[in-house]
Parts: sequence; structure tokens; C-alpha cells
Amino acid sequence: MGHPPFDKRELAVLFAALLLAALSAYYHRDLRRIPEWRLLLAGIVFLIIGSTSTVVEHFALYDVFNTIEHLSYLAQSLMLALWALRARRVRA
Amino acid sequence: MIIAALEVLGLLASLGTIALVARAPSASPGASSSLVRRALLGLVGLLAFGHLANVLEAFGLEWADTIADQFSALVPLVWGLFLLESGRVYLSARLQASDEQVRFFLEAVPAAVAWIDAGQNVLGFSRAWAEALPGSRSGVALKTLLPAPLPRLAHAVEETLRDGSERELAPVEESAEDDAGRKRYFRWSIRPWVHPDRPAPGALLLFEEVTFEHEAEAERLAAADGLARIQRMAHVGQMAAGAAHDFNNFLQVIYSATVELEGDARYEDAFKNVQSALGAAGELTRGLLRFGQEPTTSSAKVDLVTLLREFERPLGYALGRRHRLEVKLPRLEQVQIEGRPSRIQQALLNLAINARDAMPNGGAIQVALAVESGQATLSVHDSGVGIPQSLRERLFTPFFTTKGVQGSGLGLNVVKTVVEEHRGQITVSSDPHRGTTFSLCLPLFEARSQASGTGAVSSQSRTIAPQ
Repeated sequence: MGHPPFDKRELAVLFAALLLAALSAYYHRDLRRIPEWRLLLAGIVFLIIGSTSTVVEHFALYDVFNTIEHLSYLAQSLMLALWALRARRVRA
Repeated sequence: MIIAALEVLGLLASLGTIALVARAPSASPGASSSLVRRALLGLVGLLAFGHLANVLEAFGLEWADTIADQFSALVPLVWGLFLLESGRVYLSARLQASDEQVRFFLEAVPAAVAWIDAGQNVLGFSRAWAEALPGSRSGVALKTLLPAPLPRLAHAVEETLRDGSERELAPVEESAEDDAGRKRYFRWSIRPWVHPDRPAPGALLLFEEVTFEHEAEAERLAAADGLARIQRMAHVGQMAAGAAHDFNNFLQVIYSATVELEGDARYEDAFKNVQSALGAAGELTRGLLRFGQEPTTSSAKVDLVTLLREFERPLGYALGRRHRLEVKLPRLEQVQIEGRPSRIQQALLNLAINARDAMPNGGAIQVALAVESGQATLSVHDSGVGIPQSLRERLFTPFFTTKGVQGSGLGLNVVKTVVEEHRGQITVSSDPHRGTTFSLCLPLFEARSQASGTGAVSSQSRTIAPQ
């Protein structure tokens, strides 16, 4: 099975993820008001790692970056699951 | 297969999250917010769809991944929406919780403290504040609560809220008249205070009314002043007694000298006037010598008509040539009161001298006697400049004088004492254009006898005509 071709939409997702990270950094004071905010921040980081790996895998070490990509998306889902679980018990 | 396993795990995690969020709202305000839940469900749904597509791709269904790629760009956008709404909801919830905490602490403070927001509204206040300023409630404007307009406080609040400066950190006292016209005193201090979760600056205002303390202090000072006056009067009494003793000696010399004139027809009138004046002066010195002792209870019937006739000439001498004395007597043979003639003369002399001083350019001074409502009224009227309203309350205060070093400030006080000794009343009416009238209202002898219930003159009483 060959590697899939590079898709420009993957680059758009990467830019959107980076924009989200930049905005999160700019509004970090507000972000920190959210309980368990570190889980959400970790989810964003994993989103960026996954998006980056998705682009990079087309240029080098496809298998490695592909695995990192899927691991990152798994971690992102786990972070959100953990946040939803913990935030239920948190009062503002 | 590893990729497929990872994606299956991711799919399970996402489905679990969906199940968790879709259940009943949680205690968390963020997780229970409708928009937050929808955004989270959308985000996790997109992730679940991506995981499912990758699982299907692993099993050879390439089209699934192609469809998933179409929605992958939405993931960061939904992330952003989710974070934005979560931040807003949690900020709002935290603000509310913080406000409740602030109000709780304010209520526990024993002083009258209030938290003022940027719009000069009271947001929270202590129990003492609510008791001091009835009608306080959250959100009401500060100025509507104040019992009186306090411009300095209003300015300080405005300045503090505008730039957060601490201009009036130290307690400030400010007085104002309330709607009833009563002067009230307030002590306040203000300092800027920024609520940890509110962007606009606020202020903490400490406010208390100190009118009672001021009134108590004024009473204390008045009592101290009265005591000081009494002490000064005691000293004056001692000095007067000493002076009277020596003065009496001189009177005796004058009396001895004038006796030589007795029987000489040329000096008959002068002799009588001098004798009369000496008699009054002698009584005056004896009175001064008795100063400080219990007032004597011995008194006698005094005919004011006779007294005025006899005293008219000495009084005229006292006024001098630039002033004309006019005596008006009733059409009665006698107007009798119970008292001491020398004291009445002393009062008249003081009033007449004051009237003279009120008319530096000369003029007529009227001394009148009238009877009405069981009282004899002796009045002294001048056509001088009048007495300002602001000074009338202090006229009878010892040592109060408008004559500067020329006056002792004791004359009207003596008049008042004489009137009180005779159980009478003194009134003052003054007009800048008509002059001033002092009226001594003294109970008639008959009226006093009836009022006292004796119904008759005591055996010690006697009719006295001035010497």
C-alpha cells in the first residue's frame, strides 16, 4: 500500500491549529479561569502535534510521523474525555 | 494494526466523552452550559468521526478517510468555539462567586463599609452600613442613600473611581444640613479597591455619622465655659468686695462733707440729689460686699412711681447734657412691687447708660412705667443703632460687650440678675431704624402676695421711698 498524496487541506488544518494555539496563548489569563485548563491546553498541543505530523509525514519518515499523528489524535480525545470527566465535579 | 488499535481507542474515548456530556447536566457551570455542551459534543463528535474513518481505512475502506478529511478543518474551529464559550461561562460564574464572597466579608465587618462600583452604585455593604443608611440595597446609587449632600465626599468618590488615587485615605469629617435643617456631622474615608474579577475600578467607603459626638463635645465645652465664667465671676466678686470696702470709705467722707450744706436754701435741691445718690451708692457698696453670699430674702414694698420721680434727676446727671431723659409715668398714685429700690435703680442706671452709649450723637432716652396684667413694666428705650439679631442671645452673658475696652460686659448681666431677684422677666426688642427697648416686667406686690398665698403683707415689709 502506497503513501497517500499530500493534501493542501492538511496544511490549512495545521494553520488553523496554530492560530488556535496563538489565541490561547494570548488569552491565557481567561483560559486559566476554566477548571482543569491544563487538560484542554494539552489537547490543543496534541492537535498541533497531530496536524504537524500529518503534513511532515509526506516529506520524511512517513511511518514514524504517521504513528505520531494517530497517537496525538488519540491523546487529544483522551484529554477531552478526562476534562469532561473532571469538570463535572468542579464548581467555579 | 497498531494504527487501527490507536484509532479504536480514540473512538472509544470519544464515544465515552459523548455519553458523559450527553447525560444530565453536571454541577460544573461550564459543563452544564448549553452552548459549552454543544461545542464539546461537536468537537468530540468530529474527533470520533475521524477515528472511525481511520479504523475503516485500516480495513481497506479508503472512502471513509476521504470523507473524514473534508471535516478535519472544522476541528480547530470548534476547539476555538468551545474554549471561548467555556471561558465566558466560567468567568461569569467565578465573578458571581467572588461577588458573593465579597458581600459575605463586608457583612461581617463591624464598621459601616460599602463597596462602590465605577458607576457610584453600592454593590455590597456591611450590616452597620445598612443600619446607618436605611434603604441600602445592591445596585442603588450612593448619593440617594446619603442623609445630606456631602460635596467633598462626592468629589472624592468621583476622583477615586476615575483614577484609583488615594486622595482621601485618612478619615475626613464633613458637616451638612439635612432636609430638616439640622446640622449633622459625618466621618468618612475612601480608598480604591479593584475586585479581583472585575475590570472596572471600585472603591471601599467607610462612613459613619458623628453628630452625637459633636453635640456631646459642644455641651462639654459649654459646661467648661460656664464653669470658667463662674470662676471669673467669683474672682470679680472678690475684687468688687475689696473695692467696695474702700469705696464706702470715700462715700462716708463725701456724706460728711455734704452734711455741711444741709439747711442752706441755695443748695437744697443739690443736697437732696447728692443724698439720694449717696444712699444708692451706699446700698450698692453693701450689695457688692454681700457678693458671693446667699442672696438676702429681706425685701420690702417699693413704689416704682416714687422711685422714678426721685431717681429721675440723678439719672439725668448720669446721661450728661447731650442726652435728654424722658420719664413717662402711669396715671396711678402708686405702683408697688416687692423688692429693693437700690437694685431697681442699679438696673435702670445700667440700662440708661447703655442707651446713652448707643446714641453717641445724643438724643432722647425714654424711661417708662406701665401696669398691665398684674405686672409693672419698666422700659428703657433709645433711638440708637439697634442690636443685631446675632448678638441678642449673648447680651446677658457676663463679660460680653460691644464697647471694646470701654465696657466691662457686666452691666446687662447685673440687670438680668436684678430682674431675677425680683422674679420678673426681661425682654429686648430692637430695630435698626427705631432703636432698642429693654423691658423689665416685675410682678406687682398684690399679684405676688396672691400668688404666694400669703394674702397679706408680712410684718417685716414696709414702704420705702428712695433716699
